[in-house]
Amino acid sequence: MSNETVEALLPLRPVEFQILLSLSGGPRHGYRIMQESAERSEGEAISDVATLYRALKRMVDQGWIEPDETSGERRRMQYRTTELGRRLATAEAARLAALLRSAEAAGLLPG
Amino acid sequence: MAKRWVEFLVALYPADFRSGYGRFLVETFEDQWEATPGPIRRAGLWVRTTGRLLAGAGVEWWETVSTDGGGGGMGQWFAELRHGVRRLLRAPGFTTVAVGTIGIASGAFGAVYGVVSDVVLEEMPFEEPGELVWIWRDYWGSFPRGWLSGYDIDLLRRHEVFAGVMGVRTGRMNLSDASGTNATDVRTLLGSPGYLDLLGVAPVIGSGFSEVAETGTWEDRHPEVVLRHSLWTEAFGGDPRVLGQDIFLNGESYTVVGVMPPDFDLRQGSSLGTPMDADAYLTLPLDLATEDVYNGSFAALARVRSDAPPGALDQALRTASAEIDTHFRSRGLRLWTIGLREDLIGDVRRPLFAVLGAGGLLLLILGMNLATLMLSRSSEQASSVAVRAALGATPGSRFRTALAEPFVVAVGGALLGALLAKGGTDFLRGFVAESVPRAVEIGFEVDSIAAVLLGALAIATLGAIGPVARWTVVRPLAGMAEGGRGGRSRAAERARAGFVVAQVGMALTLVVGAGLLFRTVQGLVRQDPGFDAGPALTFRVGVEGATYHTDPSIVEAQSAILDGLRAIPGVEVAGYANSLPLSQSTNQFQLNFPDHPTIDGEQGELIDAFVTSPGYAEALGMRVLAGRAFADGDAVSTAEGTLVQGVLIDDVLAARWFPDGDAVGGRVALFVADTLPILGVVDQPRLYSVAEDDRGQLFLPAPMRVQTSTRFVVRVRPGLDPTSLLPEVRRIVAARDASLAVSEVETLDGLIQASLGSQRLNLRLAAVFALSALLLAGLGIYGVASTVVLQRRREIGLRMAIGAEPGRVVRSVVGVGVRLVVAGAVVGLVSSWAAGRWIASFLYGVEPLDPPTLVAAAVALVLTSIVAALIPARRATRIPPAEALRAE
Repeated sequence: MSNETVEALLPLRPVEFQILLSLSGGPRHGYRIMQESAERSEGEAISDVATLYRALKRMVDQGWIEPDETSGERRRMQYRTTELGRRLATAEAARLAALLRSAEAAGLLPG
Repeated sequence: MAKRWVEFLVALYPADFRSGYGRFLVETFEDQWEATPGPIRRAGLWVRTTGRLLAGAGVEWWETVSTDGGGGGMGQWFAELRHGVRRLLRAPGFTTVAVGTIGIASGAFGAVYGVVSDVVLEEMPFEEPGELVWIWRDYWGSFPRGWLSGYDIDLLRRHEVFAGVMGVRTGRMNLSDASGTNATDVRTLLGSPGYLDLLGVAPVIGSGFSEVAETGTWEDRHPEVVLRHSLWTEAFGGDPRVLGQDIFLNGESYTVVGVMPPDFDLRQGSSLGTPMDADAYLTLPLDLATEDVYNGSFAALARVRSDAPPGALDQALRTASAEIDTHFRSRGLRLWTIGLREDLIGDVRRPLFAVLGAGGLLLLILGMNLATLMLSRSSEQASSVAVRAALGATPGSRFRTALAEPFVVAVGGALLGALLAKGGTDFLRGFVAESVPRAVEIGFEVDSIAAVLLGALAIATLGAIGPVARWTVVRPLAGMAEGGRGGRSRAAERARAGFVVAQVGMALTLVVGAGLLFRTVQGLVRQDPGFDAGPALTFRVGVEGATYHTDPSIVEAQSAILDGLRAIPGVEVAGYANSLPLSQSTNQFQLNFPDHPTIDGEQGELIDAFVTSPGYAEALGMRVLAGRAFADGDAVSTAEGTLVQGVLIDDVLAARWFPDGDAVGGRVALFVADTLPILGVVDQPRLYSVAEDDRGQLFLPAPMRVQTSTRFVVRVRPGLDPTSLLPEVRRIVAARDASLAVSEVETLDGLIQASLGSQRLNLRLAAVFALSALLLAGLGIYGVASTVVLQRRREIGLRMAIGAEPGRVVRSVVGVGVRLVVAGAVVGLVSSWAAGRWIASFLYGVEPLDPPTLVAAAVALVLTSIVAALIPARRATRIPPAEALRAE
């Protein structure tokens, strides 16, 4: 998949980016994703199961992540990112960073 | 606990989804739950998750169905439904009963609902019907629904709150062909100019009345007629060419200028009795402003402006009332309004809602039946459930399995119900046509179908309780252990007994209701109508038309017809009057008793007056209590006027004004100076209802106050069928004048029966409901008793083997049924009490809490339960001991 195709999928929804962020650290089960999202940012935390699974399902269907059957504690359902998912996360991070730089240039971020 | 709940919620999701994410959801929630401290936070989590997961299930189902077009998840449902159909086909008995139960219940409910909604709930077929009202003149409380005079209407028209006020009047005319023969009787409605426009309904063909027909002078105008749709189709074959042609009413030609839409039905408001509808609409070319204030002869139809300020209507009515009242010595005359629909259906609303309530109860009873049936069936399947659960069938798949059968029978039942409701609607329309207004509007429409579906859904939901509980909450091992005995759990049996108790309670309510109505009709039938109805024929002839513009011509025709009738072989006596008993309609006026002291400050009262010929009293079977009835010569027309010997009064007036029994020879005063002696006192032939009628009656001898509308009563010798006279009657009337129509042919007995029509209708409907309810309760008890016998098969067999008397066994089984009835009766007594109060207004001669009725209903139920339980009980006594032992 070309970079252009990846670009076309941006921007990601906050929930999707949160999930990809978590999974970039390795396979995770559901509650851990929720936990990490809560630690990362109070406002965008994934607080309920339904929101989480809806996003996961969408991402699996699009091939960004996949169930991880091999590893995991207590044989839990875990997910890991695919190659596409990793590239997406990187691209989204770059997009956000660029956005941030613009904000800085505009003097919106003091210090 | 929380985990189970989420598992249950997940079971609601499509199968594809569950295999992919079900475990994930449960695990994640579990983690979340454990990490959430405190009961309050946990409760919040629980509520939030439930809401989101339920919503999510909807979304997932929607996506499954919309993306893969019924494959996948839906496919599992279809597979399950196919299995359901197959299982049901293997149990044709059960399936027939279940589908039939739902079909009959939802069909009956749909039909009754269709009637109620079309009669009571549907708006009248006029533009902005909520703005239309009838206005009545309440004569200081003595007579609330008096006609208005033209003067009143003219007064009201000056108030801006009305968009229009019209005088409306009904009549009857002879419709004949151009040669003046083949007469039929049509009911006509006449209204002041623009009355059809006020309703906002245009004719389907033609353009309605021309201006000159409505407002032109008598000389200028050529009379015009607008036909009701039914008259157009029946008398003119629905031929549009009739438009612009002349038809003959009372021998005069009227140009047809329109045909109203099929659902158009304008009735004169109900001053007394039932509102009169009409087949043809005519104009009334009167200048209302010049009409006498005392001549109350119009029903006033008004449209109230919807943008009028609040209180404006009351203010207008008060002002006009006060003005009119000055002409009546300010005794408190008051104008008041009632909506068109309310006026029409006010009397039938309550009975119809009661019938609908009864239908709903029956629906519930049938639902209980289905529930017990389903419960038994799922009990029989319990071991297979347990096996499947042990083999790892998820709660979700078991849920689908459980719903499959109720769903299939509900669909089948709803289809059957729709068919039955369609037939039932037609049947009910014919059934109620005589006693319910707007019956022609009853049809099988969308709302009936909705009621059928709703009914089927309600029953099927009740029916699904058992299977769903059985299939989803099953504990595999426990179920298998029970499986040996066919898996009948105590909980199921308790539920089943509960259903039967509820059923018995509802059945008792319906039986008590029917009993009360039976006692009412019984009481009414025993009521004395005030005359001895013998074998007699009655019919109406309207002596109207161009040839009858003078009183002598009318009297001459009436006498000639009467003479002809008297000459028919087999006729004992014949006479005529302007109106018949129980017709709820005649002339009313103030009658004074000049020689007697006042009652409540009045020297007279408003009475019902009849003009009767000699022979009428005898033909009707009136009872002369004192003095005599009319004879030939009591009224003689001369060139100067009519010479009258005297009048008759009824026992009501005699008791009130001549309490000493000296009525005969006393005097009455009609109008101002017309004083006449009383020739006789008669038992009052009831005018309004056999039940009650306390308005006094006065009888004037024909031809005093000539009336064109003539009701003949012909009494034949005993043993002769009065209706056999009809051809001869028609011949006699036609021989006199072929443009006169014979209408409203009825026997005297028929008149009395017809007056009980609405009560009989109520009774018949209630009886149908009550009998069905009894039967169903019996079925329920039969089912429970059968189960008891089946369960105790071994025990009973053993007892029989060691010499127990069959009687004891029978008694113990029957006792089960009787106990259920007693429990149900307690429930039923409370609801019967409520139902009795609800129908109290159409009971007569019986209290809502009538001990004999209650006892009889309870006895009927107990007998039903004994009969129902006897069948399985007798079967129990025939259990061979050896087989009973083997069964275990």
